[in-house]
Amino acid sequence: MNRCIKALLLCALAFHGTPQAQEDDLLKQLMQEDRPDTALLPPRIMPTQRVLWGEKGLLRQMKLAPLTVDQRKKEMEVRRFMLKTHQVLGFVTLGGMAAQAVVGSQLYNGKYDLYELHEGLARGVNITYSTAALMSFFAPPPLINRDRKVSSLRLHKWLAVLHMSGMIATNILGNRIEDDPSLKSWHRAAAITTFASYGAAVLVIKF
Amino acid sequence: MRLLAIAALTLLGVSVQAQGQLRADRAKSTITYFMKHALHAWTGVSREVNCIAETDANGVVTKVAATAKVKSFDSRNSNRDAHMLEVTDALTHPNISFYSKSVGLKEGVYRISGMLSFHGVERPIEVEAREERVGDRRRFKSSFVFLLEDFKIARPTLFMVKTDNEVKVELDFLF
Repeated sequence: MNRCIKALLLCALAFHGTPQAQEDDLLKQLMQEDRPDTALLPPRIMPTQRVLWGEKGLLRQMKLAPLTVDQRKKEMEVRRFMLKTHQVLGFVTLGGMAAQAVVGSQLYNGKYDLYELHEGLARGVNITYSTAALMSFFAPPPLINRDRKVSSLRLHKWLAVLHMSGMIATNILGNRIEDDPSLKSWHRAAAITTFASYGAAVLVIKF
Repeated sequence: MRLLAIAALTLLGVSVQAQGQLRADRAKSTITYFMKHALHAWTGVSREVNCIAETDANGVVTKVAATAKVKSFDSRNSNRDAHMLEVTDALTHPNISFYSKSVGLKEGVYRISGMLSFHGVERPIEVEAREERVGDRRRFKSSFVFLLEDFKIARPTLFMVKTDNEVKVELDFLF
């Protein structure tokens, strides 16, 4: 009888004395039902990123970046650094383009002594623009990609197609002006289109 | 001896009183966060909420636990959501979870204190929840505010400007 009461008391204390364990148990129950998400790459990746970082990308094949959780964590740091650089260079490029707009229009109005400055600025803008583009194109892919038909990121990408075409056209036309001065107005139009679409691309992007 | 027996039976009786378990309807329950940056404000919603509540014999909630995947929050901006997964280190800490330590009901309002775990950091929080009936179902709404830095989360930046530290969260659970 004595033993029976002791056992009963122990049992009761065991039940009653661990409220914390019971609360944790409720959470544990949820966690046990949880299906862990093992996807390390999003289903859709930008083609330039896929070449390097896709499941069968170059860096994976060369075993320089095996597709593991630890590696993806490192890639997220690389990605953030590259996207921050992309952002900073984006502003520098926009500033260079704004300066070029002032210098270019004065050159257009006959101030030919600014030609060298115009060329120097063009070189600088080309370098920062290309580096900014490379930082975005070859950054490790994000963890998710829910890009919708219309989103600020999609708009940013569409505008990138426009300003990249504009950059190429501006450079080609600029190099041909010496041979054919009638191309000046086309060069100017391409530069304005590039500047406007680049500025819009910077503005539409949101955290 | 008799006293011991009574004490044991009383304790046991308290522990095994009639209980029920409620489970939130995943399709109709949401967690929404509200964040701000100097340039704009936005919200992110998770529609993949797992929540269990225990009730006593009268149907009063006595315990609750909830989890949601950080990945499930959708702010309708993929770039922003991806950035949030980076700053919250979702690869290491994929879930945000809560469990109650005490639940009290006074004048129709639940006062729940418990532990919120996010980004691998666990902190105590206290929330109030109101219940309403939706047909034969029970709906609980609540809101609270937390600071990103309390959970050791580096605030994301846009144009070199950090987002606000304060995050408001609204819970809407249908059982």
